Amino acid sequence: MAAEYDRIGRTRTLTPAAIDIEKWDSEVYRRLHQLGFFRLLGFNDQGLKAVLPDPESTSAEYLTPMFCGNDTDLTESGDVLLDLFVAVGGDAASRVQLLGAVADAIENVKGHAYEGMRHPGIPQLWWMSGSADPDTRKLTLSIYDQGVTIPVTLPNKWSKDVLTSVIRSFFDSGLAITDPRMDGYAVKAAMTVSKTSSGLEERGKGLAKIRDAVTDCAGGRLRVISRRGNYLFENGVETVECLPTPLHGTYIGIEATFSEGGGNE
Amino acid sequence: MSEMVISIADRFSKFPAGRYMADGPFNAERFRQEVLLPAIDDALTSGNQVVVKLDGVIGYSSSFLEEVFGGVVRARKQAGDKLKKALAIRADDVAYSAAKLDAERYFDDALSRN
Repeated sequence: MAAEYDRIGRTRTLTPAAIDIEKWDSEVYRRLHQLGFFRLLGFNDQGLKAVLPDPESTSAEYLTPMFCGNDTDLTESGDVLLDLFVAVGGDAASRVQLLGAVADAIENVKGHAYEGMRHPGIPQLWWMSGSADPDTRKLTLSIYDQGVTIPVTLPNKWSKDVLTSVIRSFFDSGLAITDPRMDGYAVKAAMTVSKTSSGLEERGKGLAKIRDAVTDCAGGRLRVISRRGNYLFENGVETVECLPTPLHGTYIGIEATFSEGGGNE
Repeated sequence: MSEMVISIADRFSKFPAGRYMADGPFNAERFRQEVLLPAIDDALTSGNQVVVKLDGVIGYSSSFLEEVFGGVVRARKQAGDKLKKALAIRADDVAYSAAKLDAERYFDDALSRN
C-alpha cells in the first residue's frame, strides 16, 4: 500500500490522501508510520509530530523506512539493512548470503521486471523495507516492484521447450504457462530454470540464488507473489497456489530467524 | 612475484550491485574496467599477481561476481591461462567463503569456455 501511494504521489499532481487515521488499527498505524507512509501524504517532520501521535506498541519489532530506487544502488539502504542484522544478532555468513540475495532481487527488477512496459503512470521502480524483532530474532526483508510479473517475463527469458519440460516435470495440466491459473507454477518454473541454467554463463541465476540463500538459513522462508502466483519455500518444501486477485507486480519476502549464538536456528 | 591486493570494499564500494554500467553506480563492469583490468594488465606484463579481496562488502549478487570474474576472462581472452597466475581471489573472513567459491567458479567456467 505504501508503495502504491508512493507511485501515485510521483505520477500525479495531487498528494494522495488517507481518511479517519485515528480509527485505524494501531498496529497497522505503527507499521505504516515506521515505513514513512505519512510522509508520502505530505507530512513533514514537524507536522507529523504535531498532528499524529507517536505509535505505541508492546512489540520490540521495528520496520525500516521504505526505500525506493530505479537502479541497483544500495548505498542508501545498505547500512540500514546491516542494522537489522545487528538487531537480531544475525551471523556474518547469513548476512552476506541474504543481502547478496537482496542485491540479486534488485538486479532482477532492474534487468527484467519492466521489460516491454512503457506507461507514464508506472515509474520503473523497486521498493524495499525490512523488519527486525530483537525478541524473537526474526528478520524480514521485503522487495516489491510493479513490473510485468514473472509469469509474463518467463517466456521471454527461456525457450518454450525448456519451460514445457520443466512444467511437465511438475504435472501435465494442459494449460499454457502464460495462463494466469498457472502463475504459481510459473514462479516455481522460474526458480527451477534459473537453478539449472549453468549452461548459460551470464544470466538468470538470481531467483535460484535467493532461494539458496534462504535454504542456508534454518529458519529461512521465501515467499514470491507475482500476478496470481503465490510461491512459498519453507523447510525445503515448495508450495504454490493461484491467488483469486492478482498482484500488480512482484513481491519477494525473505525471512530468517537467528539463534542466540548468532547462527540460524 | 609480488602481490597487489585490491579490496572491493575499500577501493570500490561496500554496496556493489549490478552487472552493467547502466544498472547502477557500483556495477561489476565499472569495477572490472576501472579497477581490476588496469591491475591485471600490469600483472600480466610484470609477472606479479593481483589478489581481489572480497571481505567487507554487505553481500554479492551472482551477476556482479560473474561479470567481474567471468568478465575479466572474456575481456582478456588472449591472455588465456596466464590469467590464472595473474589473478587470485581471497576471502579472509569465512562469511565470504561461499562468495569466493562462486567467484572462482565463474572465473574457471569462463576460462574453460575461452
